[in-house]
Amino acid sequence: MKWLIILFCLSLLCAQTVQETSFSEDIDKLWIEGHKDKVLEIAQQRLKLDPNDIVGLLLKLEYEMAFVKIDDIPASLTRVEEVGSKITGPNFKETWPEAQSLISIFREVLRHYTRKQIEIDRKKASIPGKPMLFLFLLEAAERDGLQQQPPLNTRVLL
Amino acid sequence: MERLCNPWLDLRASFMHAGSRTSLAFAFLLLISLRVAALDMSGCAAQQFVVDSWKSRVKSDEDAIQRLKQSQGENSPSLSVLNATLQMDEKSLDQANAQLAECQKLANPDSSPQIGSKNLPPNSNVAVSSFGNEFEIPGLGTLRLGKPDPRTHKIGATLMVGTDQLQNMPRNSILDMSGDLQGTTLNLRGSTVTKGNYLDFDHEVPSYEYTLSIECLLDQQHARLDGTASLVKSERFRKDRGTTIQRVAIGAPITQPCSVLSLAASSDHAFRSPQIFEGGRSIPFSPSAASPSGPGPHLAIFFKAVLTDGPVDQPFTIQDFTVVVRANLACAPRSKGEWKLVSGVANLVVGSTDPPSVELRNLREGGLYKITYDVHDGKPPSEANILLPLAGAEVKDRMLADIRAANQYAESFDKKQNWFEQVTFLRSFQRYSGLATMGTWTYGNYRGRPDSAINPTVWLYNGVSDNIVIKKLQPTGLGAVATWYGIPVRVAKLSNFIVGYTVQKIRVPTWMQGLAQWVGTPNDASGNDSWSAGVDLAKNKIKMSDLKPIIMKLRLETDDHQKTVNLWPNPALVDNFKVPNKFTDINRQFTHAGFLSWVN
Repeated sequence: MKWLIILFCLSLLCAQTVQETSFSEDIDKLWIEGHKDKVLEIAQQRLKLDPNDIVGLLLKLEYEMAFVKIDDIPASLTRVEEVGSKITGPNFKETWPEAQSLISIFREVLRHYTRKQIEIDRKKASIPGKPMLFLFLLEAAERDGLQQQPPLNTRVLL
Repeated sequence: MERLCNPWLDLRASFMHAGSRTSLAFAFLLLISLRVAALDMSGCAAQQFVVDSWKSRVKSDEDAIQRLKQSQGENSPSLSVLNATLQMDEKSLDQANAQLAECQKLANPDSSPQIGSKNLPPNSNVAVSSFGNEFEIPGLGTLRLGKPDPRTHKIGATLMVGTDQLQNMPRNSILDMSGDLQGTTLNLRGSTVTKGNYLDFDHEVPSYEYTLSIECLLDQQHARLDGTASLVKSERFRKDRGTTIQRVAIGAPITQPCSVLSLAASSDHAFRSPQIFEGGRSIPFSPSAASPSGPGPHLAIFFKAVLTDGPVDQPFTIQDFTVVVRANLACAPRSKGEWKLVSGVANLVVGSTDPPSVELRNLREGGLYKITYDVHDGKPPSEANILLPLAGAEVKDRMLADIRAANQYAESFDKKQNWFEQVTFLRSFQRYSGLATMGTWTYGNYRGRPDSAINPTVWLYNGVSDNIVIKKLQPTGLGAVATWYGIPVRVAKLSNFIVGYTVQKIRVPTWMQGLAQWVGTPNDASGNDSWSAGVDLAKNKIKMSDLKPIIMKLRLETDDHQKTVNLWPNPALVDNFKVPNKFTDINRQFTHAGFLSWVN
């Protein structure tokens, strides 16, 4: 019986090792499955430790755009732009121009939003299966090791 | 002596009396000069070899005498024997030197312009040494000689009987022979017995036996095998006692198989013609080999080079064209080699025999055509690769499935996505948008190399990069060529088509379409045509059956390096498709626009 328990524990350990995923993949999975509140929680934890944490800023912005938080989005776009433009990691730097283009486009979209459309679109926030808009930038940040900036282990929160 | 080689072959062998030591020299001389004669070459390499051999022997004798003197003194009784041996070997060395001098004199163009090695190819010595002691006897079989035993001066041989001249003797029977060296003549004898298939019911033994006896006489003047084959009734057969039934005279010159130095493949329609393939070995071809090593030697014939001109939207018409493969032999061919087409379907028409050549006709499909030429010289057949490079695999089924997925996506687009999501999605449809290739999702682009394991495209001619990628030095997997309804077309056209189709189905507001294209490079003309095809299909302006002539036009539009028009249509269905989040290798996998997988 004792051996069986040890064997079971070992198999669990192996399974965990095999299923090892990256930070972005974990976040993307949460998002796709519709756990957007948890993603916001991770963002807030990270920003509490470091207000300039680009990963935290991006996750917060994703949440606000998903729920069409029209009042918060402009400031978040500005913060992402401020912090992102100073990051020198090669992968992040390469993808940054595309992110800047998107930020400009989102500012234009904000101008077109009506009160009625805001109400309609907020109802779509809980629909699962949609990818994150800045996932490409999140992946680039991770490739540069930026997801490790805060000492807090994200996996504990997951 | 009697031994049983196989159920049909009872072998009897006899040995001739051993000759003198001197005959060993002639043995070497004989064997090598036979080779030289058979090749119509008269270089002095053989004579030099004999001289070197005797020099070595004399040195060995001198060393032995020296050692004996040191160990047993000057009066040892064995010393006289060794001295006699030394004298004989020195005499042999003198003879060999004389023959070498004679050979060199003949080979000297100044002293004898008609004879000698003046006109020989520079590598004649190499060619001679590469052959081995193997001889073809026309109409009979192949004779292989062993090495002479320096002690007994005997020599072994086998004769592979490949003729039906000898009645009742099974083809490919091996006749073990042995003999020795008499002066400059090599005598070989052998006999073998084959049994008939009638049974003597009294004794249950074969009703007859066929005995083949051959005496082989070879010398420098007559490279010829002479002998007699006798059909003899079995002594064991009741009432018969060794009656000779048939006697066949054998007399045949001996020739040697002529090795293939190279094959040359050429065609008026080929790219970089001719191509030379080293003879006597296999020439592997690997479609997926990456540069710079390349896929392996081949003669390439591009699709555009064999198409007849006509309206761009009409089906392809392929010209009649031929590929000629010629064998370059080490000597004048005496026996017929064997041409084979081992890969591909075409007509193989054997042409001239000197030099041996073959024509490949009626090539109608892309792929690899491998031709072999075998002269049965003990080496692997020579090979030539003719490549009609294929485009990526056929994607018509994939596209039909994707059109269905696009319909589903369009239906749910406005119901599921807010404006931020919608505009991001639309923006990702731009051909050169960074979003198209970034991240786990590939958004609006087909990527990778559509391929089929049974009909592979060739990486060298169907790269996955395009011009923009070359500038960025970062392959994105947007540049490969697929086959769509039997027409080679860039995968970028598939992307434009499916995106145009989807956007039309979605019916997004004009302001949003404009915003999506606000930043970035707009689609080019060719991108617009494929986009329009998708839009027209979504609007029911055209049907699926109308797509073929449109794709024919897309094939000819902007294309770096003429990649699309060079490649042959690939009829095999794509078998390396992966959904975008499982897509990890732009060279070995193929994926569709990411949003097509979101519907699931």
